Amino acid sequence: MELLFFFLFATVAVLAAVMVVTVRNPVHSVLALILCFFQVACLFVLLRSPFLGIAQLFIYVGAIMIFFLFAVFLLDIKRTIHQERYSRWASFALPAGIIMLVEIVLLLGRGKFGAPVQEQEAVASLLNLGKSTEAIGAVLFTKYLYPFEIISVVLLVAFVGAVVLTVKSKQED
Amino acid sequence: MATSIPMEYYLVLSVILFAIGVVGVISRKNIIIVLMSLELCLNAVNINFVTFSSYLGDMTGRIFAIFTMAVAAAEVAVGLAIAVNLFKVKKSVIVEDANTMKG
Amino acid sequence: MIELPNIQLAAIYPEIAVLLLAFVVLAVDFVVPANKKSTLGYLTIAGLVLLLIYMPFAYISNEATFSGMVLSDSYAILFEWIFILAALFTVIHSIHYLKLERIRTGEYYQFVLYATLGMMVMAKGNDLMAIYVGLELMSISLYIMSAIGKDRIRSTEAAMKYLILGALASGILLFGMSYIYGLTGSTNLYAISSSLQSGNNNFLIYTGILLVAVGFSFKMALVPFHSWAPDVYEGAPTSVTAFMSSGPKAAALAIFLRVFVESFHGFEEQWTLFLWFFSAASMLFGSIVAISQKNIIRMLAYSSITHAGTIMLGLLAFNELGIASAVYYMMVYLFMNMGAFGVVIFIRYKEDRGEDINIFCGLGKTHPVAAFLLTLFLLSLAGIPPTGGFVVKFYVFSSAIQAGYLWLVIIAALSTVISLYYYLRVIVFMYMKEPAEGQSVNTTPLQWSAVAISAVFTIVMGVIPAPFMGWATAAVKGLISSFHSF
Repeated sequence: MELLFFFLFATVAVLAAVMVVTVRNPVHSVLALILCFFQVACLFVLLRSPFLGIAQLFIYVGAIMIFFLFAVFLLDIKRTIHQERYSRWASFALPAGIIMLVEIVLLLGRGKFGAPVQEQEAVASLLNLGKSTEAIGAVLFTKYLYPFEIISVVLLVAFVGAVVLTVKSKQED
Repeated sequence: MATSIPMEYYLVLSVILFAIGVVGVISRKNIIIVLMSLELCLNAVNINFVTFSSYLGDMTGRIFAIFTMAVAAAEVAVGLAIAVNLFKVKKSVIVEDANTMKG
Repeated sequence: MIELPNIQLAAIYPEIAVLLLAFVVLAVDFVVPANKKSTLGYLTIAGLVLLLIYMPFAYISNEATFSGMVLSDSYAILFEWIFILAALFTVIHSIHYLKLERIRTGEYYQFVLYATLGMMVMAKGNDLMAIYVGLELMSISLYIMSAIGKDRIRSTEAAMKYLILGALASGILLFGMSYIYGLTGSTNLYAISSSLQSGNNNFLIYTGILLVAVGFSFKMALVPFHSWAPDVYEGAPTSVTAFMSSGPKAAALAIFLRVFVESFHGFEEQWTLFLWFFSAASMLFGSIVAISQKNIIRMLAYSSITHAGTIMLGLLAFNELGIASAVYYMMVYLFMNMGAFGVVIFIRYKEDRGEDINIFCGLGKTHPVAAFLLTLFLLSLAGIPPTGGFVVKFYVFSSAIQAGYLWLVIIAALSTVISLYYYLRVIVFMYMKEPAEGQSVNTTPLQWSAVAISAVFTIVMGVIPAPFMGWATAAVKGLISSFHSF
């Protein structure tokens, strides 16, 4: 049953991703990407991480993609639609992507994963659906306090930076 | 974990999405779509992290995924601000129009 | 019940200081009028000088704190010296330059500090997560800094290119990190190391290591991941370029050495294969393409690619001498590169910055001191004795020969010979040609003193290398011990 859902989500995600990079109209691209992110959020739930699924929806679909939509509307959609979609690197990109894909899938086939799986039984109880968010909160503010604080500075930088870049260009116009 | 899905399925899906993202970054001309392809790459990485985290029964991967999301948001904010600036000065969002410098 | 981790706050005092300084600058920015933004620069200088005074007393320990995230060892502290000096020189060179270029963005100084903070987090990071977060903090600050140049078209284009390629590189780096995490079950460098040592020999680990190496090489601008560097260096304000070519490069080297020596030392045979190629390609490509450059900033960009390739010889040699000399190389490179850019910043062409090589014609007659200093730095970059540039090349080459990389040293020597041509060409232009029209020197005493300090250190590090090399050797002892004990 779960496998069925996995294949459903995975297929839609891949198709949506292909649409993102191939369609002509950037608005369609944005919508396809939202669809793809939805599927990934569903996959996170399948992976017993509902908190990440919700975060994925809030951050990506709720914030980032809306941002993209605004940018697309702000810039010239009309002109880009009628222009050549692909850059001169395109003929080189596809084979490169396929080679990379095949190589890593082959490697995955040869590899054996999960060296430290023995511990999983003990932790599994902690990670059941309801407790997942609690477990994330418990380590985020203790064990991972330091990167958490630095991430807050990263967001501050992005915030100040976006203001500086847009306000400055406004003043000069 | 108690799922019946082999871990490799998730990893292969992640590789496919990552490869599509890289192809998009290299081959598309529109900067907005290039930025979207970058988001696709970061999302593929997140699938990897959450999968490993889930199958190893270790929290680190999930926390890493949360940080990746935050960084992605920051990168997009700055990227779109620069793209809007670029559009203002060049009236274009096409990568190849950004060719003032050569050599 | 939530258990609080053991936190040794003293380990991150320098980081806290830099962040506080950035916040003070942010707050003062609101009350300073638009034409007095240089006040912020002086404030930043004062703060960084105070931090430099504190640095000799910085907390040093070989025990990681913050749940193994932060390792404030002497290696990290040495690199923090480099970052703080790079930031200090950058701010000194920026104040007057920004006025001349009519860039009134007071936030500029903050971003220098945020980028410095990111680099410090990287150098102290003992966990892939901390390293990644620091790397992104540095990169995002740099994307913004490179977008605020006077020439809006070139500057914005450069920033866009930098952001797209930089984000792609971070994506590749993260992809590699995710495999390493999945295969070893941890992101802590020590845990990764011991997991890899205990016969965890999955095929996918090679992919992980390769992807991580690609990500780091991008940040160091090694060929074939260099394509952003010349454009970004040219398009960004020159003061930002000076910063980008010394600080972040040192930070990338810091994590390159730490991750590869501490965690991946068991796979040396595999990763030397592709690092050999990156290093050789950087040395050859950088020096050959630099010959045809008419723009001195682009020339210095290609020269920095060549130097990055040469520094990698030290990591490839993978012995104590090699790693210590790579660190020492970075120390010397900071001074000679900052010095060269410092002089380039104050050469003006009419109302613009002087970037064309022809503008430097006859500088020896019109401005002998500036010409002399630039000559000194270029000779050091070329590796001519008695400057620091010669000594570090000597150390790096001898370590590589010790390790048996004869071909690589031959390539390095060849690239040094080629690079002589374009460094000497600028010197010939300065002394042998008639003065160029519209050329002027516009600078402040503060900038002169910064360039003079760079010059003094460039020579001192070449004449008496022993104490500096001793410091570098002591600093890398901690890294080395992690693989000798196995």
